[in-house]
Amino acid sequence: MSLELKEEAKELKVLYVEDERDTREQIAQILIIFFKEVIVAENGLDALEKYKNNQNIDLVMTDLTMPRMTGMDMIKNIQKIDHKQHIIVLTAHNSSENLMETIDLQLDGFLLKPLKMERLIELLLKVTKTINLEKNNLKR
Amino acid sequence: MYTLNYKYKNNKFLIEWLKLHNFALKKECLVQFFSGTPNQEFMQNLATTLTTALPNAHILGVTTDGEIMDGGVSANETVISVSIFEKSTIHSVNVEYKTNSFDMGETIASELYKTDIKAMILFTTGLSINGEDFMGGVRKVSTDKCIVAGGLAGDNGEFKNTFLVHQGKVLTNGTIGVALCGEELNVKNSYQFGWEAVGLPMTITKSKGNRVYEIDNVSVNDIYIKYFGDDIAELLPKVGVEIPLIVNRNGIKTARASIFQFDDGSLLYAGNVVEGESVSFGVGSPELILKDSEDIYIRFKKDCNPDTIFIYSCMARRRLLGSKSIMELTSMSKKSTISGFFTYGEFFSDKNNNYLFNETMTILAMSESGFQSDIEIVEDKFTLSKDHDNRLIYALTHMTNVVAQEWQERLDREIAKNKDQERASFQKNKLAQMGEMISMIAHQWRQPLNAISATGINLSLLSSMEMLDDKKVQESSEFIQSQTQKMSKTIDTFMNFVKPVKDSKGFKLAHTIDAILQIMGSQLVNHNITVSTNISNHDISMVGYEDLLEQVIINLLANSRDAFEDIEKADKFISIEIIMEKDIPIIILEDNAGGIPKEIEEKIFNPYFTTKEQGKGTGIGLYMSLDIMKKSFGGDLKYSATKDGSRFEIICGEL
Repeated sequence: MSLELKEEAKELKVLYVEDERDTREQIAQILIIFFKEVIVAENGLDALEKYKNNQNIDLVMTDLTMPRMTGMDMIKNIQKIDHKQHIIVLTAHNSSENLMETIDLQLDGFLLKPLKMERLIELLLKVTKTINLEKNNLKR
Repeated sequence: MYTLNYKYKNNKFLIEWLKLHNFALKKECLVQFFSGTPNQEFMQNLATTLTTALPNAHILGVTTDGEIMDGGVSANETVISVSIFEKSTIHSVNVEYKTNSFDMGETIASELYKTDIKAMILFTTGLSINGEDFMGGVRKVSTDKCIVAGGLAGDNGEFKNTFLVHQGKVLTNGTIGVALCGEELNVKNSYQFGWEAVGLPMTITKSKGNRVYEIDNVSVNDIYIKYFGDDIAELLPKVGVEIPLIVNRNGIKTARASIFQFDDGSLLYAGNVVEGESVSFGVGSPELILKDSEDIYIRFKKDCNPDTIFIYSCMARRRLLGSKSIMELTSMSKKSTISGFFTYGEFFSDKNNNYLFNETMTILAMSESGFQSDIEIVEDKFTLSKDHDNRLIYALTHMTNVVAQEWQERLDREIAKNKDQERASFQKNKLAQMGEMISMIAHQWRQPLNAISATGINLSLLSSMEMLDDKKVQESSEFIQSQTQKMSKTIDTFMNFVKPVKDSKGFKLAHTIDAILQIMGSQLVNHNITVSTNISNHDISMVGYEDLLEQVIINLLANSRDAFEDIEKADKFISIEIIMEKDIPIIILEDNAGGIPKEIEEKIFNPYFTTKEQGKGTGIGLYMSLDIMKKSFGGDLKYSATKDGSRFEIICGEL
């Protein structure tokens, strides 16, 4: 499955947002195995800036609780720019309240930290396939 | 030895009486005269008459509040008591008051002391001497080697002038005394108190030496008004003898009678009343008041037969007992010669200490032929008086004490209940704090857990895709180890926090703040709260229970964090500052979380007051924090509002 993901994600650009340095570095190292380009940001504000400065970000993966600007606020801002932006949330907060809000925002998925490998690959595969499908449709 | 008593009528008769008994020829002759005429001229005249008639005698005179002679009690008369010693030696001195009562006591005792001394009889003037201090000074010399007896001079309850006579000299402020020495001399002392505490115990809240200003935080004059009414309080200081304060000295219940009232209402007592000590008002016990006249309640044991008995008894006993005060003496006088006087304070000693008594009858019995048994007081069975008034006094005293005791018990129960409640609340708060801690740990642990799990995924993926090299394995392994170290350190810090009260020791405040931020920091960051510290000097330290201070700080930080939850704010901050003010360390915590509404500012330190939603706050955090700062650090905790938040000053008390 991971080989399949490598194939799907090899042309894609991901923005990964996480305030905690060690987690950020480790997860970024996983993403770099699959994606063409991984942009990292430390908080919502930082991410929003990088999102605006970088063209064609295919996927945003973000934590929710962060200083300066929360993940939720950042997502709302990004969706104002591009309401079709593919977004995956990674969080330790598994409260139903958070889940409901993600459903309202029509996100692509929800990953609980600490991550489980299968679930991560599975979701990334599903989302990257959708992204590629959309891209191909757009080309035709 | 023998003693003869004479009631003074005039000089002529006195000289005839002295001649009749050949006192001038006696070698060791002690003359004590007890005079109810507190007049300097009279005292001087009598002193001159006696010294002329008996040039070799030791002459001691004292003014009184009543005289005792054989079976009788008198007032405004003069009793002359002459004791002739055959096998003993005596000598006498006088000392003028100079610096203080203690020094005066030490001086006279030093001048009287001899290696074969058996007893010293001391008299002091009655109004400006601190009898308790005086007896303290005497004790320095007398220790437990000799009996000390005597008392403070009186002036018929006028509290104006008291006088002493030694040989031909009249003293208006000082002390006189006689030492009784000799191997053959046998001296015993005893006392009869019989006053009973009535009402609830009170605390002396302001006093200096023997001057009392406040009892139970109320002026001493108002305390008498409160319990006895204006009319009785008007009669102070005189009435203070009839309603003395009962204090405890070395386990001996003794009384303190007032002897002077200052313009500010404060009262001077005949002995010290120590700030902080517990006192009660005293009344003559029912037994004392209500004895039927046939009952005689002080007796010597059968085979005890002293030659001479001197009685130094409190003025209040004469006033309270009236004719009955004779009764307590008659049984003794059958076998022995008795003389003495009613004093403004009695001197007594036992093997433990010297005492100043009030309201007490002290007895000094002596013999040169030897009397084997100790003086023993035999208490007769109490019988209720047939006198109607006495019965009523008895009934009311009894009722007052029962009611007081009932209320005390009720109060004790309430206090115990409150203590239980407080303990339960503190326990609840401790549990709430533990909950806080655990959630902080959870926060602290999530990050390394996330990082480790991501590392694992990374390794697994690289391996399955045959991209894993040794360098990567090494790096990952080191990373995992460093993360687990981090987690372990969090546990250590946490364990340190929850450990039951550590020793009281010196600690640096900067370290305390560091440790707290290690635990709480990431949680605050997660709430988008920026924490800044401003520590002017990292060596500022204090002594005490560090964990208690930690509790206070964590409590305040958690309150700030919770306050931020209720408001929308982009720039949330908490600042922590440590400063020194007049050698006192102060920790200042400030936030911009909106502050506390003005109308509830006053209540925030009350127990069980909370603004937090049901189930979240115990309402005891700030109350407990203030309590900790006051009781454990001698400090304080102060709140003030800032422009858009709160400011708490944790004042750490004296270094």
